[in-house]
Amino acid sequence: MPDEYRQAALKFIEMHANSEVMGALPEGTWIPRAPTLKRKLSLTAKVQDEVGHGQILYRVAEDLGKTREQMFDDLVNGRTKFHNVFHYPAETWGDVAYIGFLIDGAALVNQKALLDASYMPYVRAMRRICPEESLHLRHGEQLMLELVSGTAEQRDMFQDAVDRWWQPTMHFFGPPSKQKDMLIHWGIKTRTNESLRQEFFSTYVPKLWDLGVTVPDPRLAWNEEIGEWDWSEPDWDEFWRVVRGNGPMTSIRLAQRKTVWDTHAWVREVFAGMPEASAA
Amino acid sequence: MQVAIWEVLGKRTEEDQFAVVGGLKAPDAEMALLLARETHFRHKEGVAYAVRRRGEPEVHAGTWPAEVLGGVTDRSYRRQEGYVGVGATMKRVHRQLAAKGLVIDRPRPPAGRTRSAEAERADA
Amino acid sequence: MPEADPRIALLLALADDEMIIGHRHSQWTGWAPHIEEDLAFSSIAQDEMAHARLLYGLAGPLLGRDEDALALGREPEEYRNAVLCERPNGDWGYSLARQYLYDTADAVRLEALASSSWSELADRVRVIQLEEKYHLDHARVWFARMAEGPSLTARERLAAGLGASIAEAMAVFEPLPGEPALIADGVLPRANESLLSEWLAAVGEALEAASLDFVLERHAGIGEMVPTGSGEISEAVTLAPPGVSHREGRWVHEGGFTGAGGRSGRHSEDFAPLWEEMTGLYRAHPGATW
Repeated sequence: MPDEYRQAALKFIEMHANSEVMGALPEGTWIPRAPTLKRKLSLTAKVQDEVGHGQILYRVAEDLGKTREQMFDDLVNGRTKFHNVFHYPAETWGDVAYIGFLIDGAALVNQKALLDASYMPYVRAMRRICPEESLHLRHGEQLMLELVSGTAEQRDMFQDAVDRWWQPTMHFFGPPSKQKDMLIHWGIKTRTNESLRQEFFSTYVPKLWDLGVTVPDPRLAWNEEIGEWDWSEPDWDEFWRVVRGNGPMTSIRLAQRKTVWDTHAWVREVFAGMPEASAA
Repeated sequence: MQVAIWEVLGKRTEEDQFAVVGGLKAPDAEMALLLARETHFRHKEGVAYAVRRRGEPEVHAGTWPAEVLGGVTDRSYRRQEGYVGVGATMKRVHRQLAAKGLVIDRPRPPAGRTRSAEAERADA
Repeated sequence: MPEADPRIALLLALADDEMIIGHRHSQWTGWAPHIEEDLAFSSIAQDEMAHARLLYGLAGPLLGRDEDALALGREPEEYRNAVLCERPNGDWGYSLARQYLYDTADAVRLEALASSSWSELADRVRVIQLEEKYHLDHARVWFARMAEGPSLTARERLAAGLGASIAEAMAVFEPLPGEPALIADGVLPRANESLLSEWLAAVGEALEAASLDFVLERHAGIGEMVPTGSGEISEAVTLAPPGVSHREGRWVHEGGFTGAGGRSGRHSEDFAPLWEEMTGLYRAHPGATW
């Protein structure tokens, strides 16, 4: 394996793993507050699965030459990145429904593309992850349908979440691809950012419209002539600020994770079967 | 400080051989088995499981029987069976909202077509 | 709420214990200090909440309320969980210690209730036991590695967690309102005091084997010297907090309970914030479906 390939794959998969464990946090804050016992269980299971996906992906990344302990240490100390969407707060149950339906929908569009990737251990991991994500998507769809068919307050709750989350969702697919995208060159990514975003629009915008939910982009429209959606480019400066560590919840979430990490070195000792070489 | 890596093995059906289904990190076989039950079999992914420390031949079999893997009380919320009919619900809610004049009727791609023209070209 | 039926007191004690401790355990999902353990502990959390659901399902027809109205719709004083369950998670040492103490106590209680004369309850208890076995396994495996493993800090954190939880753990066996009627009917096959005695002796032995019995001795709280029958202070009797003493090689409970009141709806200062968080959204939208 060429070293440049190994490095590119490791960085990509590490970021994916980081995103799963950071992705557990916005929805995780609603486990204690879930509005029914059944949803409390289903949300716990869903967030559990996100952690599980992190576990699977860290295992793949580890075999490319970086220990999980090192990856976690880098994450909590702000040295590595995770997807933009997980830097934002989940303010209401409407956000939980949005994340479950549309962020998971966006992630699934990305992840299905990864099933054709060149690195087989990653492909095998995605084969385990994608069916679970499909289940999460149906769960998110159920949550969303309850809100849009519920009380006026519930409809407003979901619409409000759409209005706040739309730009981060546009950011999620990434900026216009570089001329020579090394990840596509290596086959680690198989489709361009634009192609995935267009697929997302085609899959989800008609559904939202069919439920009377508006999208806060006045330019968003299906252009029959070119066979693509017209849309407004979001503020890419905001995207770069967020992924570089200045999102609304970045510092808080990483600080909380770092506190748990720093105060539980003894758990790592238990797992290593030996005391840490250096004092905690 | 290194935590040992264990291969997790599973059998989908009684007739299968054990196959590697993933890996985990644990200090010893007992902890590895305790964890594997939930990391890799909580969705009833198999009828039997085992672990093997990477680099060693010995297979340590799990003791929990198939019936309890994935839970005994109602777990439909974390399985496909819990989400049957979501598509039908979507249609029903759409009809209800259409009757109230709430749907947004704007041009959209032909039904069933979700990949863009650019994607088709790029992947050709 | 109909208080007349003492079976309600029993059912809600069991169901609310599971609900509240499940709620607490679920708050580790995404945060546990080892990622595979995060998954295992989340399953334990879901088990507890699923058990609560099963038991609320039995209580529902008796009280005329559905599972959500019971889980999320009652006033704070109507919840009958032990105070142990409502305490915040603290560090992993506390949470693990609490899981160990709670699930070993629950096992003793469930074993008795498996032969309850109330057959619908006994049936559910036997289903619950199938899942609780894993909780016991989990507790045992972790206890051994923390108490007797290579990490001194792990041992210290376990000891601190046990010290902070063991007194309130005993109150899991606080006698129920109307308990004599339940025992007379065979609904509760053994008195709580008897269950406590069995549990405490077993836990005491396990702690002694790990040289952690000092958590029972050195517990926060002022002990009273307990005289022997002759009126003299016997050397064999160790200083211990009110309600616990070491007699003839066994740890026994006597007197009152620390953290008493849960079975009558009297909770600690930690319950109100838990209740606000857990029930707020449900109560803000009466009649809504989610």
